[in-house]
Amino acid sequence: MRKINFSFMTKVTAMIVVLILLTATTVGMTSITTTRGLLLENSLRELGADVEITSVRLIAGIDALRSDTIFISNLPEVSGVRRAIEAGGVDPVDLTTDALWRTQLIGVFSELLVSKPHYVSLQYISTDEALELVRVDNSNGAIAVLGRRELNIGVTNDYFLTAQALAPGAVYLSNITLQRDSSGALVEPQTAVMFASTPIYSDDGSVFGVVAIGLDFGATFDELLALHQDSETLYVTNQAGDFLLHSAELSLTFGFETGQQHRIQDAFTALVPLFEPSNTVLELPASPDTASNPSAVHFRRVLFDPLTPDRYLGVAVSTPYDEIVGEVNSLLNQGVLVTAILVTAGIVLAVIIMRSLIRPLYQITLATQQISKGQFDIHLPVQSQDEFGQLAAGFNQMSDALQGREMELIEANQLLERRVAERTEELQKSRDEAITARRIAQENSRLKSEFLSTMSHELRTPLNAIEGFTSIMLGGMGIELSPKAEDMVKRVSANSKRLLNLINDFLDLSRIESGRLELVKAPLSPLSLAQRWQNQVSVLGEEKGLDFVVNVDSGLPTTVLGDEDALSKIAINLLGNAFKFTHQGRVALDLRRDDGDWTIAVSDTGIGIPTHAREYIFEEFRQVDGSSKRLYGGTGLGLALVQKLARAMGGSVTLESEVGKGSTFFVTLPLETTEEGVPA
Amino acid sequence: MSNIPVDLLQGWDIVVIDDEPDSLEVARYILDFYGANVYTATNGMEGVSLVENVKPRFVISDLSMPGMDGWEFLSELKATLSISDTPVIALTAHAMRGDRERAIAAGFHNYLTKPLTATTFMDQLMILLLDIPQMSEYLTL
Repeated sequence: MRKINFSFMTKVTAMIVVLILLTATTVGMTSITTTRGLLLENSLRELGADVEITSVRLIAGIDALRSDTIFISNLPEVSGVRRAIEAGGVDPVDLTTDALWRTQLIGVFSELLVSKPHYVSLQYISTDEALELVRVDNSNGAIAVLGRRELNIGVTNDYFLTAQALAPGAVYLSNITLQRDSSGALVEPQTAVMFASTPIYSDDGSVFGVVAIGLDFGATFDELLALHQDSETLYVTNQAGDFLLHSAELSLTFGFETGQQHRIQDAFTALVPLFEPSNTVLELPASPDTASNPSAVHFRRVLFDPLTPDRYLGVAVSTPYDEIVGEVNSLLNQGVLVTAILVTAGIVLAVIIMRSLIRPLYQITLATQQISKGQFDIHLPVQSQDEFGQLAAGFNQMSDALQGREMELIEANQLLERRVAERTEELQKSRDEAITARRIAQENSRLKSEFLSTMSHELRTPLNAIEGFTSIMLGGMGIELSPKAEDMVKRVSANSKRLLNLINDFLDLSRIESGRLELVKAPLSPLSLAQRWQNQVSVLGEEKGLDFVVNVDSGLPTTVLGDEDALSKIAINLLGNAFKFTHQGRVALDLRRDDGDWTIAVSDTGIGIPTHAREYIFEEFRQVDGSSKRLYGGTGLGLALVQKLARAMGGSVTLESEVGKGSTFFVTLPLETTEEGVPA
Repeated sequence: MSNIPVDLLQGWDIVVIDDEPDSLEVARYILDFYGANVYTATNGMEGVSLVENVKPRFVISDLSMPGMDGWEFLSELKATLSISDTPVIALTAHAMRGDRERAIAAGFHNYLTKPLTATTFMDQLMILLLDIPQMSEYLTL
């Protein structure tokens, strides 16, 4: 599975976006719910407010009607008319006649109707025969004063009948009905009216009559209709629920006047309980339950007459829930839109801020990668004083330090490389020199070796011939020599032997010194060696009458490894010297074992070697002194050769000597043995 | 040497090869004195044809010679079937250390050390010959 690596910036961006969206969604959902509730509540409360306005307006109109009723009841003309009638035609107070008072009252009523055009009639009705005393009508703006004969008798209107039972100053307010004429027919155009009436008492406390004002409610209703909002429907009903005002359907009003029934509780089932007799709820706000009702309705009872609380006006405002919800939703939609815009702006802003926060980190990361690739000249812009700024500054310090270190390293490296190069050159030079020197040395050595080889051959060949021929002459091989000739040939032979020995010694020494001595390690029998050496030198002792004692230590192995030539040269040389420097007594050859070494010891009873001479007798061409050379002959190469050969074999030569008594030379060599037998 | 009978090598054919005429002469004289028929050659090439012709009892050959030297002579002789069994004794110079061991290893039967003198030559030669089975039967001491 492939793992996708998002950058830190992407992650943080995503995180912030998710956070913002989560927050916005949560807050949005919560606030939408809350707002929906609030908006709904608000819309419903608006219904209540409209009901309130309507109610206040109605009450205001009714209150004005009530106070105007009181006002006219207190008119002096009203009292004057009563006193004049009670007194039989003339007012006993000022002697004004009944007719005059009536005329004056008509004037006042007319003025009142002019100033208050929504009053349809002003009446003064006597309880005696229920006779209208004064009546002024306002019929469509025309003030009509009813004449004596036009006045009604036997008035049965409720406002007349009820008012007679009222206390002084109390006002009866009638139900709102359609205006009818005295014959009981509905006045055209239909006019909604309310009558307010109050009793007029005689001085004796009996009720003389009633004054009443008819209020045209149409104007009030028109006012209310003008006030109400188009989205709402405004209703005014009587206590039975019959529509008095229906802003949407005027034809449904006053159905009870024409034998029809259009009631508000039939339109809104929620209001049905209100119209049960026991229900005293004054106000029923609209239910917020939008689901079970098609419309929201707010209802209030307006008790316009405290005297008869069972009579009231119902004021209601309704609006379809769809409309409320639609409005709420549209508001909410606006809110959601605004929120979405804000959230988007917030995200953009957050991302921008975050990028500006992260960018320094990103730059530092990039710079770190570059540094890890060895690019040290990175400098980050220090844009702020915050942690990123400090980090960038710290990073720059580090980068500077690294760069400095890198430069030092490079310099140190270059210096080192230069030094190495110089040293290499020097070494190369000295190596070349050394090689050249060695080559020259090798060449010299080779030339020397070749020279030695050649010399060896060339010097020896003639001597070998001399030796061969003299040996034949002296060997009894049928060559007859005179005694004199034989003596001379012997001398020739002796001299050639000396010369050959000298040459051999000289060549051996040269070979050793030029490093050309090649020692072999062959199996040798010490016993055989001793016998061979004895054979070679015994003749020297015989000539001088010396004893020659040879002893081979039984502790020696039967076979040792060594170079026979070198060992023989050592032994023969030492033995030759011993015989040479010994005049009487004996010469002894001892081969013995000394732990890990073995020793060839040659002792004599000769002249001995002075102490001072022991240091140099091993040097070439040195004998004890010049005189001895002449006396004893020899080249002075022998001991030098002995010592060099011994050392070449890893051994050493030591000397014990006493002048006049004799000398002993010890040649001590490392003992190397082998299982291998000595070849015959 | 007095105890070496003068007829020791009576009737023996011996080939001696050496580039030194004097050395050859000494060897010839001594061997001749003891009764041998001595044939000489001065280099390996001559020596091979001489040995092929003479079929000697043994050969004495110097190692260091111009032309074909003793080493080459030996390998040539060993490569020639008719004479490959002929014992060859090397004649080594005193100076050539290591030559003796190399000589034995190369197939020489044994070696003699120069200088050749009347006494040492015959003494050594007798010892070497006794060591060669097919020679010893001829020797009557």
